[in-house]
Amino acid sequence: MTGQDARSHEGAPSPGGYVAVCLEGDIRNGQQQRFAVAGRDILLVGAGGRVFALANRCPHMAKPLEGGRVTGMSFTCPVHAAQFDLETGRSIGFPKTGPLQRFDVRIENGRIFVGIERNGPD
Amino acid sequence: MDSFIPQRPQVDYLEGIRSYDDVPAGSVRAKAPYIDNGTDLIDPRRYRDPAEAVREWDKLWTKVWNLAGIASDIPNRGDWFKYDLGKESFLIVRGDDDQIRAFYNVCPHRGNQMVRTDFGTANECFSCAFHGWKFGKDGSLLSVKEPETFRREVLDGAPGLTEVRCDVWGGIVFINMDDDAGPLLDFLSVIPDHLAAYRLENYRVVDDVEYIYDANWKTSLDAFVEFYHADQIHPELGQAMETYYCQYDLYPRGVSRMILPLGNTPDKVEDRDTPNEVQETMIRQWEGDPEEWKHLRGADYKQAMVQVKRRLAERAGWTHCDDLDDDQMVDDLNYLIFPNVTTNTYSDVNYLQIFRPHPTDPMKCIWRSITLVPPAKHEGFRPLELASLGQGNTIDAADKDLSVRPPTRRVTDPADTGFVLEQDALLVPGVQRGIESRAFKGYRLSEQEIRIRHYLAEVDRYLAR
Repeated sequence: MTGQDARSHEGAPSPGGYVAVCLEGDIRNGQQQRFAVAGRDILLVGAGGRVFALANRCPHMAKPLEGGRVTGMSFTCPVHAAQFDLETGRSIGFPKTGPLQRFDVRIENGRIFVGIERNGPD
Repeated sequence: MDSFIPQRPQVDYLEGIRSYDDVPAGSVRAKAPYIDNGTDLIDPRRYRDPAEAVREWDKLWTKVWNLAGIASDIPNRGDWFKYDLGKESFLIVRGDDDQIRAFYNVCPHRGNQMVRTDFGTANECFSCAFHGWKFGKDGSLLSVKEPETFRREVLDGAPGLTEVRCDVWGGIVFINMDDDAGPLLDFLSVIPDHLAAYRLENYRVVDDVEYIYDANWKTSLDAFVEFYHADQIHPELGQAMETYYCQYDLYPRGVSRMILPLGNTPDKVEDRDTPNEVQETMIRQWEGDPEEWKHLRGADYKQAMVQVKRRLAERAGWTHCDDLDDDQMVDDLNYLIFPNVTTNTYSDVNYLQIFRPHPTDPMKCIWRSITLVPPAKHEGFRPLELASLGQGNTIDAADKDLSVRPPTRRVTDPADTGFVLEQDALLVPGVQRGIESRAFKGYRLSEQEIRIRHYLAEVDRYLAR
């Protein structure tokens, strides 16, 4: 995936702020895919049977998260190995940094919707 | 003195106890020729003298092949894992040429550890989080931040990451700090041949646990290379697992094996007619129905387990089982990979236990268990939790398709190591305390405990005793 352009989803968000991004089956456990969603660079990550939507920007040094590693329910940045808890967004261990910016995800009728105006669940 | 009266015929130590009556010549299950390591007491100073730990670091740990991790945990180029041993730490990475290499986890600039987490992926390179020096996946130095601020000679030689030897057998990654050490396959002695049919390279990690034992690494290991303790420590297992007719085999290079036959009610159990709860629980764990086997005596119950596991193998698509005989389908083959790894190898699970010395306290060790299973093609497969064998527990892997590597669980409650393993975890610290007593003169070992004497003899060869 690294180096490829993000798939674009520039359609206007629904009134609730959710944008249909892809099919549920597109993001399997351990997989990730980058999307441009209403002007935002979003990384969808599958882990633990769920899908997480992250801003594709590591809070440590603003490098892209795309290409990082999913282990259990954590995600490790591919540049300096900053690690984050996907469920809380919290930085774990070294290098310590701020939390991931995350967005709410809904799955309806087999499609993944990202709430670009809504932070992910704490 | 009644307890000294044998209930069975005296064992001819040269012949040993055999698990099978009918092993064909040349079978990997055949009894190995006896290796005589004597009958002396085992000096307790090995287990309690801090100077011994220093000797072991200098002459053992830095010379042997050490199990560092699992190759399938780094399936893609750029994937890496960290491995800590004593005061050292290593970075194992799959390069752009698909080769697995190992490096000391040390930035040559100021010594910062390049990675601190267990697993990761490097997109383009490794970037030190201290000052941003960048290194290729082959360890070469790619760039230095603000190089114009260094006097030229400081960067002479473009210092990269320091490589250590690395090799893979059976999907297991080993490293060796000694450039003069022999090849890994020689070091592993008979194990690659004995376990070839299991095709362990196909097994995947479903659980990974670490726990600190308040005991020297050898005190801890010693409880896992004999089953003489099973009746007292693991009475539940003894309902369906042999605790007497276990076969102890010694091989060159400190390697050894015990075979733990599984399935029939052992002759130590009073009721050998009715299948017991432990046996029936195992049948359920392998997706069988105990009602189908009610007609069997407990003493003859192994055939039920063989049949149930063959059916499971068929559903799961485990073609390696076609090359395993009925005993291999069910029994536990426990090998010691010298010096500090035991396997519990089954047709459906491989349970590795690694006993590493604590980095600062020789009276502690880092116990780690890694559970691997062959991927199953059918829906609903739940891997057996071997650490709780006989208790009905399965591993609730977050990702049933084994596509996501579970994290290493660092637990502090021994109950979190598993039902059977908790029994050992609670046992071992008390053994260490006893060994440290001035009253204790040294191990007096039975022929069921000869694997201890055997690997210690190999340790002595490394320590030049």
